[in-house]
Amino acid sequence: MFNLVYNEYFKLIRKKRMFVITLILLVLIPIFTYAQYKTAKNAMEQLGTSDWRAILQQQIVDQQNRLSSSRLAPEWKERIRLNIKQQQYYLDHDINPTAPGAPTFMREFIEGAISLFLPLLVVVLAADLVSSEHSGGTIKLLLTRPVPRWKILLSKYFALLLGISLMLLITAILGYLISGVIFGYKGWNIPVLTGFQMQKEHLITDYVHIVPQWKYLLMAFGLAWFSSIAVGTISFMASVLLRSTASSMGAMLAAVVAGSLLTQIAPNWNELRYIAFINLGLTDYLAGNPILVEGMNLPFSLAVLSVWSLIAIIIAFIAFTRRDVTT
Amino acid sequence: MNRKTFAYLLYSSAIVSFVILFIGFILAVWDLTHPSKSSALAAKKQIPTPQAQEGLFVGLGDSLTRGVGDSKGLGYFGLVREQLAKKNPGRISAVNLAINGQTSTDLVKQIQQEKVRILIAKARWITITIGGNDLFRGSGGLEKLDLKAAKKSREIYEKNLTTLFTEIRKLNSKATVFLFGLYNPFGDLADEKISSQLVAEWNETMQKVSARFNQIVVIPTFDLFQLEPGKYLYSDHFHPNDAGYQRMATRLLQVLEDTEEGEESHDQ
Repeated sequence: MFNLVYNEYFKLIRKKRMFVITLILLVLIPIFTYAQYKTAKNAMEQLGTSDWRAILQQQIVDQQNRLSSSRLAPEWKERIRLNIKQQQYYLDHDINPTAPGAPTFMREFIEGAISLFLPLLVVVLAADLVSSEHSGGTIKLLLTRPVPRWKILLSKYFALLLGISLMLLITAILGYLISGVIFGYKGWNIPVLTGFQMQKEHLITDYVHIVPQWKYLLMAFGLAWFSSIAVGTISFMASVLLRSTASSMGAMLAAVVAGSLLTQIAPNWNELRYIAFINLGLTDYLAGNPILVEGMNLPFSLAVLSVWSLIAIIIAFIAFTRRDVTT
Repeated sequence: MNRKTFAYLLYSSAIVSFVILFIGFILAVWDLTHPSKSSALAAKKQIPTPQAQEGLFVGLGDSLTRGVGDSKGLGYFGLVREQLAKKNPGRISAVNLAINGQTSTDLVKQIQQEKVRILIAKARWITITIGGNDLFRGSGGLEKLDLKAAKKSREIYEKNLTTLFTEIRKLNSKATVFLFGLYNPFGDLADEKISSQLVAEWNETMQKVSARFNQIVVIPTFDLFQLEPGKYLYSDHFHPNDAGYQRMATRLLQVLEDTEEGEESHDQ
């Protein structure tokens, strides 16, 4: 079994898909880095002063002002208090929050990429995993070996999981190395706020706490890994069901893009939340971003993704083991 | 590197990242589903207390100090702060505690707050605009000026101003306090003479009260807006506009320079 996985993993790598993904990242990350650098520079110009310490001090004071207002809801007060704490930390530790280094870039990159960009890369990686054996004609060679079919498929699946892990590793390393050229390589210990919870319309800040950035990154990448695997698993099913690479990849790309479009077009359509592709943005829960569709939280999204993955894998196995190979 | 070791490296790094990402995922789920307040408390310890600032510039009062009417939102306070920061890079901090629509009675209440008191005690310069809301609200609005009501609210204002300065001096005996005089935003309306006279009386009250304390400077603004109110007032016909705030800032900076130089020569 171990040998089979090893073997399949190298088929995956050798197909140059991973190379293409690395190339895509190599082109896009510098662009994103430059975009972010531009934004930071613009913000600085608008404030009219390059002394970020003065700006931070004023921001803290403004927020303290807001705190003293009696019209402020208590849950916002707690959030502002934490914000002040965060900014005071920047000030005390001489960290410029507008140009805070490569780890922050990685965090923003993964948060932005999790619901569309990463899934697309995963689809590129996974959607032809089995179908390419059909189009390449190698499926017969594969199935005439004295190994049960389910074992072959399982080893392909494990290889995919490893491939996705490697892809995220490459994303992290490239993101760090490239953005660090401009932003510097420091900032692993910057405090990041997490623990926001949504209940109906309200933001619950009772459990908000500060974690160091390295831990936050670990968690964010872990969540990205999970949603990438869910996409990978569904693509895996598509590659079993559809025999041509073009159609399985096309179908999966359409599904991923449609999922991200739908959340923006029809956030009021509540039943959307049972669709896997709506639930890919897991880092939103970590960052406390407002969730567009009502009734979604982390356990819910994890459950939806798990159920879809489970059904996909069952269908994939049934279809693969029962299929007659005629081509 | 030969092909085989490269392949082995790719394989093992995939396995390692698989394990690390799995741990990260578990951590994230654990962190989000088992929220605890203890970590927030632990984080509190590593946040040190704010350091004392070398030159703290504090703004108190109403919408004029807030900067209402300035398209950039700076107001005279923001403009002066920028100038100060330019001259003393990294050594100036500014706190704007002004609240829109505040009257002298509100301000007396505000300076009872603990945070406000701490800031006043630390301040090197305090700038105040107060009285506009007292005058134009307490005198029956813009259309019909009730002279009797105006007199009464002026008496209250005088008392509040005295309390305010007494409190400030109690907290901070060194800081220079600047109080902006009132101007007449209705100088081009029909009742110009009456409203101007009222404003003059109030300005006199300011002078009178301030004279009883040390280091309190009243900065006149009446003349700035007297001849061409339309040019220096915002479209609400009450607050200054960009140019108006610029004029106020220039005045304040002129007086501020003296105190700065005084301080510096004192240090040497």
